[in-house]
Amino acid sequence: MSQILGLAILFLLLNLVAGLWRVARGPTGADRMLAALLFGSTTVAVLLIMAEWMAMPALRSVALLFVMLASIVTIAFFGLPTGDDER
Amino acid sequence: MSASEWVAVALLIAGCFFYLAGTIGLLRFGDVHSRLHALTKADNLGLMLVCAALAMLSANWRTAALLVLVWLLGLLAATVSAHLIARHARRGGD
Amino acid sequence: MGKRFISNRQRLVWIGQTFLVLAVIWLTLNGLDGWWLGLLAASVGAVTGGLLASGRPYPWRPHRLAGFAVFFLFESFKGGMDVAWRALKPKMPIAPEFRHYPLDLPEGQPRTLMVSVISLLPGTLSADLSDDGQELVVHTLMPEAMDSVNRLDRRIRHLFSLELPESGEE
Repeated sequence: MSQILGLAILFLLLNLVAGLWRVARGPTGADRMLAALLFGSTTVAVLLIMAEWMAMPALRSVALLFVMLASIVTIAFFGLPTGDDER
Repeated sequence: MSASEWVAVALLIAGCFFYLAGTIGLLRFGDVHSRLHALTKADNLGLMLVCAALAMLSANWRTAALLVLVWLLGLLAATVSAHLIARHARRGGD
Repeated sequence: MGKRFISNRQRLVWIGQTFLVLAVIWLTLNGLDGWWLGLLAASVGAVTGGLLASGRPYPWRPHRLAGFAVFFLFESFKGGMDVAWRALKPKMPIAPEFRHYPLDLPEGQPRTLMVSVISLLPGTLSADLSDDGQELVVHTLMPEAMDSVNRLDRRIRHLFSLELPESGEE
């Protein structure tokens, strides 16, 4: 079981690296912002698997915090749609 | 390995598969909006499956509840980010 | 439309609902250890949420929420499968285009739910709201994707007990 969890982590990290190619290449700024999404979802999965793998429940709390920050980061970056529409 | 562990492994592999599909979509699709489709939908299905696998492994309802909460917040983050990035891209910001 | 107005009673409903959600989350994560701290945190969160709420709460039925959750789970699962299949297929069968969808759900929870959930349904992504807030710009991966938007619209009306679009006047 332990090796399988380790392999899953490795796989997800490689996946993240592959995705970074798109982020580095662009071409638009929005493509680079996709990094926030990609990092968010992959890191959370990796942290959760690590919590099980290394028997460190505290990492689950780290994942929880991370996923809460993920939406706040994008909102901070773009701002909520206000002013020009009726929200 | 017990039966539940086999199920967990299957779920974990399926989850990793959707993460991979999301990244492939991110690399292959031709415009920003289509890439957003790939990332939000495939990665969140991946996260759901990974969470389900880990919930089975931990066999503890409180851990399972925490995993569900993480997944729901992940969904929220994905939709909010996707909408804001899509809007930004469509309005021609850079 | 008088949408900005929110009465004190409606604020109390907000506070009550937020408190319940926060208390349940605290209980599942922490159990009863340090319950007074959880009570304090949930109360502060609920009051803050209630004071910041900018629209009226819409009544919803618990059994309809369960139905909506099942619909959402199923559709988002389909959405993930669909986009994964399109990304992996060598021919990559996508036909991206922008569609406009007249948004006649009332402002507040129904509309927010609509805009957020669309992005997780098969082939649709909420890309923008028009400046007057009456039209939603949806990015679709295939022409038939708009069907799921219509179904979602009906589901949301059902959840919040709103009339169907023909008779609605919002």
